[in-house]
Amino acid sequence: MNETCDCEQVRPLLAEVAAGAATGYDLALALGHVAGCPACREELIGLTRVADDLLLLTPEREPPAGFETAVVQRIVGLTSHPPRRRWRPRIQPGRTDRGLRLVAALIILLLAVASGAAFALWRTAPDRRLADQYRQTLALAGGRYLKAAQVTTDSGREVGHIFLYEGSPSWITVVLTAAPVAGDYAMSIVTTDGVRYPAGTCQVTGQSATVGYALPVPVSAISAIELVHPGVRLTALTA
Amino acid sequence: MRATDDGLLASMAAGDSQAAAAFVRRYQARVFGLALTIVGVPALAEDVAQEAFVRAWRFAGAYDPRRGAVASWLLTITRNVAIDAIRLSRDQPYDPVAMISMLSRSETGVNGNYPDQLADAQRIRAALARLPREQVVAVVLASVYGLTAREIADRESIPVGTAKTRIRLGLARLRDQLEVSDERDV
Repeated sequence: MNETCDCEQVRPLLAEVAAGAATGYDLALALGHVAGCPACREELIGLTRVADDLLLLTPEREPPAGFETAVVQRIVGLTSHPPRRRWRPRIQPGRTDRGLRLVAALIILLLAVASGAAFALWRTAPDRRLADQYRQTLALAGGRYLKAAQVTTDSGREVGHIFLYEGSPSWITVVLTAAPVAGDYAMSIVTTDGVRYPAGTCQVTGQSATVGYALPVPVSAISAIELVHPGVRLTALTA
Repeated sequence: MRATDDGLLASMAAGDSQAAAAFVRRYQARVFGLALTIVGVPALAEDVAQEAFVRAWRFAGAYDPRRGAVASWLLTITRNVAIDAIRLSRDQPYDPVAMISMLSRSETGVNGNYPDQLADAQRIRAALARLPREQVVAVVLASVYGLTAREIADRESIPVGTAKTRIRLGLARLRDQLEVSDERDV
């Protein structure tokens, strides 16, 4: 299939993708194509702007009293961290053997580093072999890296995994093994800047499903993958 | 002197709670209005609007002004949160007939405090008015309410192919109308 044929096939789908109405194969086809076609990507961006601009027409409504305070409190609550414990030296000032202890500590540290390095070389040999295989596998198709993350319910129960591949094209595979209910789950990709891309449907039979799609954005730009079914939300955090 | 949207967002990203409060104050009616339009239930709309602001704060550092105005960015986040809420709660959005008529009324949308956005809203409304009604319904159900082509087909009792065609033609015509009005403005 040549580039022109792809464009002709994909152009009619872009409005649906921009409006968020495309699913399944159409969505995967369009996203896979725009990832490598600047002209169709520009077309999609233009249509998406038009679709987003429609939101400007919705009426303003004042929220209930206290809304602003509630939002700011939530934000402040998320920004505040428990105070960190400060590290305090155990050696008391004024001790005469401080220099001697310091030299002894340095010798012990050097011995530990030397023996640790030798142990690490022996112990990590299988890991290094695995890393070589990983690099060779990625190099085969021009890939850059692979990433995996747990898929969990809102209550934190693990129900499967996602696998992300950064390459040309980049793709995602979702594997569910313990989904709470069967049926169609609408998949979304949430980027680190808050933009959400519909990513097709994941059909769960029993508790299991396996589905793969091309990614519209680089793996590094993805913060989460969400799968939503009426009454159920599954999330995989990747950032 | 009134702070710019970009400035407020940058200060909010840097952890300035006063900037966060000012940002929320500036956009709360827009965000809550959109949330209420989509979910239809005030209590749920309030949750959605809160979550939208929290997400905006969380992703404020990554906002790119080249990709659109702050208002559009924030409303897109709000729509996404609202659609998630609808899908989770199994609630159905408003009757499209009432919704289309609401979007077409000139007194709705942004108010006079934001002349640029008001002008944009008027342009979009004028362009929308030139489309066949069935295309408006399809485009709005998809773009605002997040319905898929199949869901629109079921709702409107039409074949899926017809729903897809209405979305495609409607959105393309809308873009063409807006481009023409942009050229006139220049």
